[in-house]
Amino acid sequence: MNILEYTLSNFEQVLNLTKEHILLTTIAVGLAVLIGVPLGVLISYFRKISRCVVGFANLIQAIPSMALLGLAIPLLGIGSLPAVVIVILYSLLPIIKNTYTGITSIDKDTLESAKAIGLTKMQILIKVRIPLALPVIMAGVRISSVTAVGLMTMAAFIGAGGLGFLIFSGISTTNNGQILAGAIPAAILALVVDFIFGMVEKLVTPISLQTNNVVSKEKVIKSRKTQRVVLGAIAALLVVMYISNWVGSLDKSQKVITIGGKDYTEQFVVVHLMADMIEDRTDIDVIRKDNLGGTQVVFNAVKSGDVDMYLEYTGTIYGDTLGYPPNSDMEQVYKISKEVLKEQYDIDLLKQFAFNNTYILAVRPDTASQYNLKTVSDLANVADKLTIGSSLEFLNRDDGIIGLVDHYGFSFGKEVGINGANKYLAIDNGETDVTDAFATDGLMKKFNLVQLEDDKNFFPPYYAVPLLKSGLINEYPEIESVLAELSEVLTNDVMVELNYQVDELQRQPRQVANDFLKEQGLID
Amino acid sequence: MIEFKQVSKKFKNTTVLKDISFEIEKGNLVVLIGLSGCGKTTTLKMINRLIKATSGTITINNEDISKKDKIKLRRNIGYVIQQTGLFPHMTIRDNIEIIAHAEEKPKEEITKRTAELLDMVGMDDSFLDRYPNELSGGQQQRVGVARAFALDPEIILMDEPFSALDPITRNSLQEELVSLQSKVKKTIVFVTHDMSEAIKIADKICIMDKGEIIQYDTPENILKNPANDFVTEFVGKNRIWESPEYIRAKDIMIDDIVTCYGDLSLSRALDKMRSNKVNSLIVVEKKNRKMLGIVKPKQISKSKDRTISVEDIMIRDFAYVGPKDSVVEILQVIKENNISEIPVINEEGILLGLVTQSTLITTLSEQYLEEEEL
Repeated sequence: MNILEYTLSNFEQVLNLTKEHILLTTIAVGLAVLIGVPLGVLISYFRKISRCVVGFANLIQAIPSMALLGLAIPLLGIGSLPAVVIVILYSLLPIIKNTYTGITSIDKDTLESAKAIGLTKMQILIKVRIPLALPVIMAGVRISSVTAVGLMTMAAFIGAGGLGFLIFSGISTTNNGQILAGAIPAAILALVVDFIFGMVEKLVTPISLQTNNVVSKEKVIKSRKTQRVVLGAIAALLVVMYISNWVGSLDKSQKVITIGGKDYTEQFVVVHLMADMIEDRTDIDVIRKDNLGGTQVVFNAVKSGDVDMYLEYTGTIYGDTLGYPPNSDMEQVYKISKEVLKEQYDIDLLKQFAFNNTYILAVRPDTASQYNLKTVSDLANVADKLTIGSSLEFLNRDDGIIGLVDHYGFSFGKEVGINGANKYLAIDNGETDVTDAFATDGLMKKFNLVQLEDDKNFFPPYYAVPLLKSGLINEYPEIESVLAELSEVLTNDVMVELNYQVDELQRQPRQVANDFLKEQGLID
Repeated sequence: MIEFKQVSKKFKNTTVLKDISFEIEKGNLVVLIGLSGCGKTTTLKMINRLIKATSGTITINNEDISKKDKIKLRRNIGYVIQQTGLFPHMTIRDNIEIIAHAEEKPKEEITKRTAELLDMVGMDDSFLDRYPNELSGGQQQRVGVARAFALDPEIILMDEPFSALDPITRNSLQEELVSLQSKVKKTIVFVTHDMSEAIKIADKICIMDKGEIIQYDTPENILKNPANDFVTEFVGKNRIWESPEYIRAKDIMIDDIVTCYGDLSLSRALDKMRSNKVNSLIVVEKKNRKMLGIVKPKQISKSKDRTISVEDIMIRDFAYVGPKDSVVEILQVIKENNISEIPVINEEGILLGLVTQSTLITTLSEQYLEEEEL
């Protein structure tokens, strides 16, 4: 599916996400200016603290943005707030630095003359320092804004939306059209922002500093008029966007729940399956926050209440969240998980779904026939010649590679961590030989991989199970029966098929979910 | 009146000013001059408290400035520096009016005052909406001066205001400053390193070196009576030739003149001239040497009777100069009267000396001869 096709068939979504992106970025940059400029001014008067402040801003800049995002979740939860906060933090440095530089690098004689004719410190700041520093300050704001547009794509990682949603969804489902539908508007937006701030920069530069032999004063004054009109129009447009966004937010029913999801195809589909079912059967509106991130992110979001529910896997709760050693008894895993979650976090687990998305190992057909591989035990004999490319999470889990090699007693020649759909691409083009996969993964079908049987019963059960935040079930008891109905329909085969439709046929998860439910007669 | 009382300034370990005391009288234009680092600018900037004295007091009209409100003090003292003193982002109008606005004066008053000020510095209101970089250096400096006068302060400080200008512009601005000052009679403190500028504009010059005042006097006295070798060196030996108006009759006249009294007979007079090898005699009164006239051989030869006294034939309507008349004026009188020598008499008519052609030649040639000796 190419970009044009994608954009045309999802025009409204692309437009809405672009709008969301613009709103988030302008809020973040606006706040960064409100914080950064006064801070820059302040440290130009208190030079002693300038090193601390600039050092701190530098430090933030040095932290990888993904890490900062991860660190922000426990403090700020998910959604727009942490995204905006992090973009503000990243935007601060150029603004603070440029403000500081602009304010402090004003000609000494000009300042002395301002002082000598009897201007107060405040008057010097407002009438002399700031006007003369404004071009430099605006240059900093310009850098920050352009960076912020790019950085804001990260917001999608924690459910804040924006164009990053398309990019990350596209990466997870190897849908290049979708990636470009997010990336190209983001790039255009960045260029537009650069252009706009270039204009602002010119507008705030004193006329006298713009004229030279080539550019006459009349020319500058004339182009200023145009600049004012353009900027005025842009400002008006932004105001309209904010108002429409605000009005839109008023128009919502009282009963709203948020369903979250992790960052891979199956999770995208199940978010929409559950959401469509609930919206069809009840009068509850559902906010769909798919593609939030890994288990930690989504679980913490439920814990903090940012997300009301999501579909978890029993094995993940048992082994990962609660930290119990691997256990292959399905009922025991479910029972203990349910009890402990309730006790420790007041989180509810509903009825287990029919599909078991456990880990499996998979190889290419040629590798399978070369070494005659059918089971993991077969693999163990030749594993030292092979490279495994697996998700980072799997690589570091006791119920992942660590436990597996221990259980079967072997080790891989090389272990490579690759996230998302890229690990399939890696095995497909021969860079890796073995990969971990989910039993229900549609890409298995797409890349025609051979599953190896877990003959020594290492992998724990990973039955899907709705995980509800504290108190939700009391507030909306109707959810339970709706999801119970869904749970019986979703078998491993169904899930592989649905995943396949998204990954291979590059259909929209929401459409796939909706079509399936209609086909089954579950919704109208 | 500005008074410095034992003012010292130290920057860390270096002493910039050593205990200086001096007074600047009201309505005077005082020039602070010296080599760079002598403390002249520091002294200037202490007056509006841009720099704080380490010890000592500075008073304006007997009020200690350190006890006054800094902002108020500065608004009552005009300040002019090199062209960078104007705010580049403001129009000429805004530059001139900024302090008046800060003082929240009524708008019409400000507008009126701005027009007056521009007029005062010889500019018209077509400049009002221009920016400093659209003006020539000289025009910028005029605006600087106009701004300093904005609130009609009693004192104006000028820190090398003309030093970045070309010589022609500098000259005309110096002249305008002098004529402006003669009208407004402000107390002006002016820092420069240019001695010609100082001599041209100053009522008094304060020569400084290494944080001390070496000589504080009128330009003329500094030229004629340098306090020490430093001043001589600094002023320059031939500096006086740049202002020949300071070379006066009394400085160059000869005072051992051959005189006679009115009752001397003509024949005796001729003898006296011959024996003294002069070609004129100045006739004076006996008791007070008041000059009565002058006799020359020409008049004597016209008279057949050689026994009559000189007072009968002497020229009573003679040309003369006063002791304070300058070389320029002497030369003018000599030229106008086509004479070779000229008596110097004071207001009471008493003969003080004589300026002859040869003394003039000697005086005027001094500047060239000395240069050769060097």
